[in-house]
Amino acid sequence: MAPDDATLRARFDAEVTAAGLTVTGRDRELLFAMWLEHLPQREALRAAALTPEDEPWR
Amino acid sequence: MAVTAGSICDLDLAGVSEALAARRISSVEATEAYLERIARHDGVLQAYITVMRDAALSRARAADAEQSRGSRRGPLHGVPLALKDLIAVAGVRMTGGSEVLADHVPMRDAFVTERLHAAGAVVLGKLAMHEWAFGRPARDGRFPTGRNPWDVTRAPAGSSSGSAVAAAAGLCAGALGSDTGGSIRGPAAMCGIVGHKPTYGLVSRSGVLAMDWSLDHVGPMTRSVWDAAAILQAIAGHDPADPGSLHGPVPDFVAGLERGARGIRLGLLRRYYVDWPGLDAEVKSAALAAFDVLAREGATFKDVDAPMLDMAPAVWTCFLAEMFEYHREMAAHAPEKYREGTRIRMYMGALVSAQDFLRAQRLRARFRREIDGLLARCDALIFPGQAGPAQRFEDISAVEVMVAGSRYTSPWNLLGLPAVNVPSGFTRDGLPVSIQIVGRAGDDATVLRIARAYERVTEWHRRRPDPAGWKLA
Repeated sequence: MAPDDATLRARFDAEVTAAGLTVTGRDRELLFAMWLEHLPQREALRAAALTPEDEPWR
Repeated sequence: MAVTAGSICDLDLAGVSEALAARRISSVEATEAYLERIARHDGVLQAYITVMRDAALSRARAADAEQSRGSRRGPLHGVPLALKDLIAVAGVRMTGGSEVLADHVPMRDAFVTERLHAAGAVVLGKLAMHEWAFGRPARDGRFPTGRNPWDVTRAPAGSSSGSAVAAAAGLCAGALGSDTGGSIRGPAAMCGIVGHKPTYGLVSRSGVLAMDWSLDHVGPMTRSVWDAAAILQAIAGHDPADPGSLHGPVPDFVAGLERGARGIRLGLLRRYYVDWPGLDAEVKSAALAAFDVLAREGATFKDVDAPMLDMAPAVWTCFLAEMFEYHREMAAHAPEKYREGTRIRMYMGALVSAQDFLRAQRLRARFRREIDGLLARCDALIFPGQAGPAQRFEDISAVEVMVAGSRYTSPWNLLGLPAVNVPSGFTRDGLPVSIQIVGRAGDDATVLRIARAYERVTEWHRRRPDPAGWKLA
C-alpha cells in the first residue's frame, strides 16, 4: 500500500532535518515536489539486489 | 575559394583554418568578422556573457605576425574560438552564469585555455550557460542562457547553451563546453552541431568550475567532426593539477577520421533508447535512417542491451550529492544568489543519504561491467542522440530533478566513456536532430571516426540557421 501524504511529508521533513538544511516557504514546497518526483527512483535504488561483485574498485 | 570577412562566419572551423593557412584572410579580419556578427546578433541570441574584444584582436595580431614570419602552430592558429563561462581565462570575469560569481575574476588560465593559446587560437569571449551548469534555461536576469538559432522561441538546451548557440550561429569557429549529464551533447543535438564528450580524464578540469567532479568532462562543440577532433587534439593531455587526469601519450584524433565505417561493429541499444515510448517519432525515424546510412557504409549492427540502463538515472541523481558538497557553504550563506531552479536542485543533493550514495557507487560499478561486456563485442554503441527536438521556453519546467532528455546522455557520464552527437537530420519544423555514438574508454578516435563516416556521406552538418530569423516578435 502506498504511503499517505502525511507519512510522506513526515519522512521528507525528517530527511531535511537530518541533512541540516534550513529550507522554508516556497523553496520547501518545491523541494518536497522534487523529492516526491524522485522517490520512485530512490526506492528502486534501495530495492536493487546487490552482489559482492558490485564493488566500485573491483 | 574566395573568402571574405562576410562569409567567414558561414564556414566550419576547418574552412576558417584553411583560409588562414592559405592567407586568404588574416586572423584579425576573421576575428573582426566574428566580433561584428556578435555585435549584430547576440542581442537576440544571447550566446555571450563576456566578449573579449581587445584581448581577441591582440591575440589575432600576434597570430598574424607569427604567420608572417613563417611560423604556423597548427590548425587552430589564428582561429577565433569561445569558451563556456566556467572555463578560466586569466583576468577575465568568470561567472558560471550565476550571481554568486558575478564579479569573480580568475588569476590564472584553465589548463584548456593555456592549451588553446599555445595552439595559437584566439579566444573571442565567454559563453552563456545554465547557472553553475545545473540550472534551468533563462531568458531574463543578468545571465540569460541563450536562444536556439534554428528557432529563437526555443531553448538550445544546456548547460553549454551559449557554446552550442555560438558554434551553430557562426558567432565563433568552435567552442568548448562541459558535460556532467549531457551538457555538451544535449545542446549540440538541439542546435545541429557536433558535440563530443571525451573520455573522462583525457581533458583536464583544472581551472574549470566543478559541478560533480566524478562526472565532469570538458570537450569541443563544433560544426563538423574534423573541427571537434582538431580542438580535442589541442586540449587533451595529462595535467598534474587535475587528480582525474589520465597519464600516457595522447592519440592522434585526426589521422584516422577518414577511414570510414567498413568493418566497424555497432551495438544498437534498441530497447532502452529506440523503443522508448517517450522518443519523438521524427528523431526516431531520422536515427533509423542514419543507421541505414552507416550500414551501407560497411558497419555491421547488432541489437544489444544493458539492463542497468534502467537504473542509471537514479544512480546519476545520487551524484547531486557531489554538487551540494561543492556549494554547501555558499548555499548556506547566500541562497538568494542562486536562481530558484538551481537552488532546489542543489538542495536535492543534500538529501542523498550516505547509504544511497554508496549503493549508487556499487550500481555504477555493475553498470560499468555490463557496458564493458558489450564493448568487448562491439567497437561502439549507437542510438538516437536525444529524446526530442528543442523545446519552447514556455514548455520547460522551471524546477525538475532531471529532464527527460538526460536519459540519452547522463548514463555515459557515469562511465566516463567517449560519446559524440552528430547531426542526423531535421524535423518538419526545421529543428535539428542527432544520433549518438559511445565508445570504449580512451577510444575517442574510433567514436569520431564513426561520426565522420556518417557525416561525410550526408549533408546535415552543412546547413546553417538563417540570420533573418534572429529577431524577436
